[in-house]
Amino acid sequence: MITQILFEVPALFEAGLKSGAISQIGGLLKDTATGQILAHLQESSLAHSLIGNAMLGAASPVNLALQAGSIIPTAYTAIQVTQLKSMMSTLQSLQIATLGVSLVGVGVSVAGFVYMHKRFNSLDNRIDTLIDTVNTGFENQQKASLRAHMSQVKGLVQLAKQAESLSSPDKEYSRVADSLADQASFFEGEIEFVSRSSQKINLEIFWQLAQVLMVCNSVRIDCRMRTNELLNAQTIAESAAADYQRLFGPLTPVSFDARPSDGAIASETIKDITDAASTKPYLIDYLRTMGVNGREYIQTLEGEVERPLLMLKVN
Amino acid sequence: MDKQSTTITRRVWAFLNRDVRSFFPSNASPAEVSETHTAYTSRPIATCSSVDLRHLRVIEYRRALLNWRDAYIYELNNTASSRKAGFANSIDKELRNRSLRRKLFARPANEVLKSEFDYVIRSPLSTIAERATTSLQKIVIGWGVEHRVPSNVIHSFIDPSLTCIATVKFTPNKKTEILTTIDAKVIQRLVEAYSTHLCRLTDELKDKELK
Repeated sequence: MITQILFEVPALFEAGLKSGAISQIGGLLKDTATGQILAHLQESSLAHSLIGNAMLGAASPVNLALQAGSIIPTAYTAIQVTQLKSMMSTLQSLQIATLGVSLVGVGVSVAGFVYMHKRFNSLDNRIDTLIDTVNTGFENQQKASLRAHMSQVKGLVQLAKQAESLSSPDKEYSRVADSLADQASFFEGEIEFVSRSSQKINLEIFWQLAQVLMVCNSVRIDCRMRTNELLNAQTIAESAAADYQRLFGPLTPVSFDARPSDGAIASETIKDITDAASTKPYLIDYLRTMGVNGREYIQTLEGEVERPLLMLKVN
Repeated sequence: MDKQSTTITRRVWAFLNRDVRSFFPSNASPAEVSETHTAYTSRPIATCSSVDLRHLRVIEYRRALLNWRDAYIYELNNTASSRKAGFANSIDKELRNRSLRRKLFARPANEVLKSEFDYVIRSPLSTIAERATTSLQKIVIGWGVEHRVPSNVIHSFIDPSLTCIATVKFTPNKKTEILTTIDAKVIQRLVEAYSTHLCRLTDELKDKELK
C-alpha cells in the first residue's frame, strides 16, 4: 500500500520520448521495447485554474490546438503565463497536439466541481443559443428534452459541489454518480443523432454536446474516486472510453461543416480525447492495486500549487 | 380404486381446497413464495489488476489507423479543392484557343474536357488513393497484422466519360454550368468514394488481432 503519493515532473521523461525509448499513449508513458507502463500523466488542479478560462470560451476544438500563445489570456500574471507555457510545452513534448486531453481529464480529472459547474453553465448557455439559431434538425420536443436534461446535469453538478459540506458526503456522491450515468446515456444518444445525419455535422453543436458528455463522465469518476470506490471508477472509465471510441471513431476531418483545416484539428482533438479516456482505466487500476485512497489522491492533487502536470511513476 | 387414480384424486382435492387468495401474488402464503433471500453484505473488492497491458498496443494501433485515414481524407479534399481551380484555368485556356469555326460549331463539353479532367483531377485523386493503400499495407505489416490490403478496388468508375456534361456545349457562357456540374456530379463523388473506401478499410482493420 502506498502511504505517500510521489509524483515526478514530466520533464524527466523527455529524453526517453525524444530517443523513442519511451512512447506516449493517451495519458501514459510506456517502455517502447517491453511495453511496460512507466508513468501516468496526471493534471493537478492548477492545470484547470490556468487553462480554465480559455476552455470556457472554447466554442470549438479549433481553439484547443496547441499553438504557442494561442490561449493565453491577457489578464494572466507573469507567473501564470510561465506556468501555462511550461504546461503547453510539456504536452507538446509528449506529442499531444491539443488541449482536448484536459477536457476529458489528464489522468483523473481534478477539475473540481466548482470548475465543472462553471464549465457546465457556459455549455448550457451556448447550447441554448445554438439549438435556437442553428438549423440542427432538432424537433421542438427534442429541444425541450435537451433543455430538461441540461438542467438535470446542472443540478447534479451543483449537488456534487455542495456534497463536501455534508457530514457524510459519500451517499450524496454516490447518488450524483448514479444519476449522471443516466444523463451520460442521454447525451450519447444526442451525439449519435447529430452524427448520424446525412448532412455534415454542425461542429459547434457536436462539440458542446461532447463536452457535456465528458463533464458527466468526469464528475461520475470524480465522485467514485472521492468515495474510494476505485473499482467502480475504473469500470466507469472503461465504459466511457468504449463509448468515445464508438461515437468519435467514425468522425474524420471532413465530417464537419467546417473548413478542412478546422475539421483536421477537430478530429485530432477527438482522437486525443479518446486516447486519454482509453488510458484512464490503467491509472485508476494502478491506484487501486497499490492501495491508494481515492479521496486522498484527489486531495493531494488539489493541494498542488506549483506544477500543473505531474507524472505518477509506476513502481 | 387403484394407486394411480388415488393420487390424481388427492391432487384434484388439494387443488380445489386452495385458498383463492393465493392466486394473487400479493397474498401469496409463505409456503407458495420463493424462499430465496438476498443477503446484501459487502464483498471484498479485488485488488489484483484487471487491465490488459496488451490492449495498449490495440489503442496505439487504432490511433495509427485513424491518423492514416484522416491524413489521406484531408489530402484528398485539399487536392480536389486546389485542382478544381487548376481545372477552371484549363477551361479558360481552352476557350481562348478556340478557332472561329469551333466557336460557331461548339462540341459537347465532355468531349473537349475529358482528357484534361482525367489529367488534372481524376488521376491525382486516384494516385493519392493508391498511395494511401500502399501506406496502409506498410502500417499493417508494421503492426504484425495478417491482412492483405486490396489494391485494385479504388479505381473509380464514377462517370468516366463525363456524361453529366454531354448535353452542354463547350462555350464561354457555359463555363460556370460545366464547372458546377462536374464538381457536384463527379469531383465530390470521387472524393466521397475514395474517402468511404478508406473508412471501410479502417473499419475492417481496426479489430484485427495483433501479433
